Amino acid sequence: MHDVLMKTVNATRHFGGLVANDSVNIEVIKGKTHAVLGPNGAGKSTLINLLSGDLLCTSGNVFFRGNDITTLQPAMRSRLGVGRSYQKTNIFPRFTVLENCRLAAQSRDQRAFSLMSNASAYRSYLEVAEKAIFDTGLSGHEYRLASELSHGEQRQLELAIVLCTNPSVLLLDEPLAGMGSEESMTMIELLRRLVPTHGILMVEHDMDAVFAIADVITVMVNGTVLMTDTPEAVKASSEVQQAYFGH
Amino acid sequence: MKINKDIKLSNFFAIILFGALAAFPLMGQDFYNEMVSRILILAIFAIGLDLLVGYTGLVSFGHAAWFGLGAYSFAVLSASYQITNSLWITLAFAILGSALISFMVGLLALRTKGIYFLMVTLAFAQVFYFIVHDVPEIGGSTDGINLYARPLTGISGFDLEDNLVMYYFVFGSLLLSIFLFWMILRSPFGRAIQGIKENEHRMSSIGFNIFGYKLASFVIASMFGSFAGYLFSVLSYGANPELFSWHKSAEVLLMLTLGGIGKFWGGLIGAFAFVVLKEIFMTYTDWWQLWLGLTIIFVVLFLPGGLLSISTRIKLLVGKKYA
Repeated sequence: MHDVLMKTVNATRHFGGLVANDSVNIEVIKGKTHAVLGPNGAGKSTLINLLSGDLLCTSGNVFFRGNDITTLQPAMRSRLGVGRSYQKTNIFPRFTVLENCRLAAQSRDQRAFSLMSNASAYRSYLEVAEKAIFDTGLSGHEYRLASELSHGEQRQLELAIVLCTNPSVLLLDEPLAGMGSEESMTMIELLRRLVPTHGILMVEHDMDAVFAIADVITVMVNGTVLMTDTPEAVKASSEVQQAYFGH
Repeated sequence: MKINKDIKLSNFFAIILFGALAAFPLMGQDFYNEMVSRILILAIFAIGLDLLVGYTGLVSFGHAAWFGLGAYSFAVLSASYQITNSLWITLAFAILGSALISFMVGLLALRTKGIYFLMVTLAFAQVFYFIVHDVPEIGGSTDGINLYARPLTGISGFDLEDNLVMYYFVFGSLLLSIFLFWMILRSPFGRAIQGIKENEHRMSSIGFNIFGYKLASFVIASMFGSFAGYLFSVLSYGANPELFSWHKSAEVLLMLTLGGIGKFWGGLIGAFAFVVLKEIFMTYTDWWQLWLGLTIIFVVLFLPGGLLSISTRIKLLVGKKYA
């Protein structure tokens, strides 16, 4: 039995006359890594935005654990357990690595409105933050400013922030973009460790990485889903060859 | 982290400054006592605005509304309607009243951003200005309300009519405000608003209720403003519509700009710099506004971080190891 954490039903998004996503149906399943492929302009980022709530559907629905969340704002979805990372690094540049993560951990807690206590004294936030920093391979960088990190390290931090919010679904928009091969390997290993307890949907251009970790692949073209199947089937499909690889 | 570093660097100077302020009245300069009191009150006003502008990233151009509200709370209760002259009741009324009204204003104003937020806050402040200017029922007139007595504390030996006692009351109020400001900034709430200033989009995508935090920050800032306005009317025996005017909102923004927006001591230093410069220019020239304006332009151009960024500038010039 598949444990469907998140899915879209006929999700459609228009930008004026342009149909960025046209009746897209996709499922994010616990324990599976779902990769979305497609040429530029295929609607991959729009799809992630519809799932995270950064964009709302023009028509169609988004479900999380069977509940309709089509109209929920990103903050509400995050609190339900939808975590997303951004293609363009989206961190707190003038805060330390630790504060970036501590703040994300704090988001899970109602005491966040407390006025008269010291935020740094909450052990629970720090423990969550330290674990995410360790898991993403940023140990030793806790007290550096996020803006001083290398591009690859900022990508790691991007994911660490998401992990601190204790999500059940991970929406990753090009998590490996701009990473060196060693950093990519660390990241892929981390994703492998996360898969059993999470549902992962990722948009990624690094084909080797995609075929190395994806359990399911969806190929999008011009805002529609061309096919959703196993990596082997996608690789073998002449349709995909035609549309995506162009030969 | 950032806050702590700021505070550590300035600890030494802060202790000297507060020592000097505590000892100041003993020098017997009665005229300057009132001026220093005024500066300390404006510092409380600026600190509140800094919470909003420097730490939440919301530039309000109507902060004088809360200053005026605090001042009129005391004037209306004690003089216009002669309901009570108690310090504790009128002060609580000023601060809680301001919190309630800013909550309602914030509900509307915080739906806008950037320049629109600036304009909406200005518009609200102007509404208040014209109410106290034109509605006689609450003492509305161009001249405002004259007061003949300061509030009663109900504690023997703690008589605010005594200028020395008044000075230390204002000084204590500033210390309390700075302490609260420090507490708020290091609290989970304080970290969250700073996160909103740094990257609002990301804060929302990791689940923070941005509107709620902004509203809370807006209300807290107004309470500081009202506290300052209250003290001002008590100190100067009066309240007038000018306290609500947009000049007043601009002045407090200029103080922050001078001292350093989003710097822990920015409000205090800015209030000092602003009033002292104004006094100096007024002594030596009729064109004091021109010289004050030029000074502010000079600071903005050459010290964009405000006067408090001088130390950083020097460090950059001479190299970190010598500074």
